[in-house]
Amino acid sequence: MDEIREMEALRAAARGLRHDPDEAMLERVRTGVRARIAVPASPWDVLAGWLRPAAISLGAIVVLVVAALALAPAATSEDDIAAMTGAMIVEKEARLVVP
Amino acid sequence: MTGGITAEGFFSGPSAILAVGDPKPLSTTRNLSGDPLEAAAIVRARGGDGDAFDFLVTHWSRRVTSLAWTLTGNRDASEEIAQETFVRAWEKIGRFRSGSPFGPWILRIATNLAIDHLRRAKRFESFDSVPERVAARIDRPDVRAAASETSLRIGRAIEALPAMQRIVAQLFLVEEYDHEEIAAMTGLAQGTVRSHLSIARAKLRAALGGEREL
Repeated sequence: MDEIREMEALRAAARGLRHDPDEAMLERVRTGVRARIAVPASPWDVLAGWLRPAAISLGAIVVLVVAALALAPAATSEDDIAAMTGAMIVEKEARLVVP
Repeated sequence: MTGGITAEGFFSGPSAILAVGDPKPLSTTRNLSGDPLEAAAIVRARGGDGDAFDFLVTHWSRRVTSLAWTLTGNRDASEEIAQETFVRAWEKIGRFRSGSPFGPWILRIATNLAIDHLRRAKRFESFDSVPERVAARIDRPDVRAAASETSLRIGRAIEALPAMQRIVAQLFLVEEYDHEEIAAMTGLAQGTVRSHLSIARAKLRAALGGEREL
């Protein structure tokens, strides 16, 4: 029992030696741990990061090209019809002129 | 304080100590047995859930940092050791035994890292440099401001102990862990912990002055 009392007395006296970390210190520990255990990006994540903007750009280009192709033949046909119509009129007029 | 013994009573001689009531068995003031929330967080952390592990870090950071600070006597080192302790725990949590309390495990990692730090810092040296080492640690302004003269005397006496006795004494007297917890944290058998403490107590008694019996 004396030993227990002695240890209790020592503990009570030694209590003043205990260090109590402040909140700022604890926050630095927590922040450091969070940063160090953060899951690193996988190769696929890195690749996706690069590919995503490229895919968006490519998609926009494809849309523009498709739209251009869709509009361009229509315009060409109208021009051809107009040209053909014009040529036919000229030819008909030429026939009328030639005896 | 358990038993009602004051720090001053410690130096007042045997009659003052005997005057207090029956002492209760020494026990830790900290609960390391875990709780359901902690158990759930461990399960999730084992599955790679960083948020669950963050809960454990928040819950244990104060004790881990305090432990490292007490063992190393160095604020900056204790911060680094605390951080490293949790990173190691995260890396090894897959091997953590399910259903076991987190406390003894994390504190054992911290204790081992603190001992490694002390070894690197060559604090396991001969007794030749003990006075300088003690002066460097105990007489720092921040320690002097926080501790009473009685505490400082005990601190100096603890610092003068050989390495493992010092560590066990610090864990028992300053951090107030019990024998079983210290055994779990240091990897020593409980009997060895008791033996270290018994020798440390005798040395502390001698170091603290023959004129005052404990």
